Amino acid sequence: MKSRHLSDEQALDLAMSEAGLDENHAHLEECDVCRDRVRHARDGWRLAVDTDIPEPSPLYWEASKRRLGRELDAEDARRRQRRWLTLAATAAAILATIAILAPVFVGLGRDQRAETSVDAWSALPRVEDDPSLPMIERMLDVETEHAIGCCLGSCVLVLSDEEVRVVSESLRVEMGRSL
Amino acid sequence: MSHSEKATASVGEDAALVKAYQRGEREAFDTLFERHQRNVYRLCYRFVNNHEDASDLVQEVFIKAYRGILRFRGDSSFSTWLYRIAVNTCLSYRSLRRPAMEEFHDDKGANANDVIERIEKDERSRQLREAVSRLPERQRITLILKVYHDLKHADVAHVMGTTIGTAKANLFHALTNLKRLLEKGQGGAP
Ligand SMILES: [Zn+2]
Repeated sequence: MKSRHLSDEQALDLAMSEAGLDENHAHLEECDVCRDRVRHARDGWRLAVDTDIPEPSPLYWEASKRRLGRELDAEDARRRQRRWLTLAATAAAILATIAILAPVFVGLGRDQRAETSVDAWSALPRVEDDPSLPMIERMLDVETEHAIGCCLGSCVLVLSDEEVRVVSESLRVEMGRSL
Repeated sequence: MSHSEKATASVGEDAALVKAYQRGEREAFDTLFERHQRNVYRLCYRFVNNHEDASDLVQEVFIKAYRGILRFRGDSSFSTWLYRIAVNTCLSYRSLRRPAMEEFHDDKGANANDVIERIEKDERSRQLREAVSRLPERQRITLILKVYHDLKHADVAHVMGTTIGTAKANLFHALTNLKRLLEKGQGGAP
C-alpha cells in the first residue's frame, strides 16, 4: 500500500537538498506524482537562480540618494510643523483651562482667606471664657449695640474711604467716652 | 572573515547606526540607506519587474523606515525589519505597469558569439523575470526573498508574518508554478 503523499514542505526540502531523502525514498520510488512535484520544484529553483536583473548605472544610486534626501527634508519639515502645531494646541488648551478654572481657584482662595481670618480670631479666648465679656455687657446695652452693628454694616458698604474714616473716628471717640 | 562573521558584523554596524540615528544623527540614516538601497531595489525590481516602479518603491520603503526607525527596538536585525517594510510596501503597491526599461549594452569590441550569448541570456532573464512577476504575490515575495536575497526559511517567515511551514509551502508552489509558466511561455495566470 502506498504511503501518504509528501507535504509541500517535504517536497521543497527534497528539491533544495537531500534532506529527508532517506525516510521518503521508498515513497518517491513508487509515487510518480511526488517525484514530479520534487522535480518541478528543483527545475523551478534552477531557473530562478539563473537570472539577473538589469543593474542601474552608478549615477542612479546617487540620484536616488539625493531624491530620498529631499523627501526626508520634507518629512522633517512636516514633523517640525506637527510639533509646533501640537505645542500651540497644548498651550491653547492650557490657557483655556486656566481661563475656565481661574475664577474657581480665586473663589477658593477667598474662602481660604475667610477661613484663615476665622482661625486667627479663634486664637482669642472663647466667648464663654472671655473675662472681659461681663464687663462689656455691663457697659453696653446689648440690643442697641446689635442694632448699630447692623446699621453700620449696611452703611459702610456704600461709604467712601473718607466717610469711613470720619465714621470710624467718631465711633472711637464715642467708645472712649463710654469707657 | 567568513560569510557568517561578515553578516554578524554587518548586523552590528546596522544596530550602531540605528542607535546613532535615534540619538539624533540624521547622517546615520543616510548611511543605512546607502548600505541597503541596492538590496531593497533588487527586491522591488523583482517584484514589479520594471525600473521606475522599483525606484518609487525604494523611496516609499525608506520613507516608511524613516518614520518608524525611532520606534525600532532591535527585536530583529535592521535588514529583516527593512525587508518586512519592503514586502508590505510591495504587497500594497498597485503599479501602473509601466513598460520595462531594457538594459543598454555597449557591445563595442565584443565578438559576435559573445553578443549572441549575451542576447540569449538577457532574453532568458527577461522571460524569467516576466514569469516571476506573474506569480501570486505571496509566492512571488517568498521566492524573491529566498532565491535572490538568500534569507533563511525562518527569516522569510518572519518577514512575511507567517510560519516556516507556510513559507516553505509558498516557496514550493512558487517554484513549481514558475516552471509551469516558463513551459507555457508565460501564458495566463498559474
Ligand atoms: Zn506521493
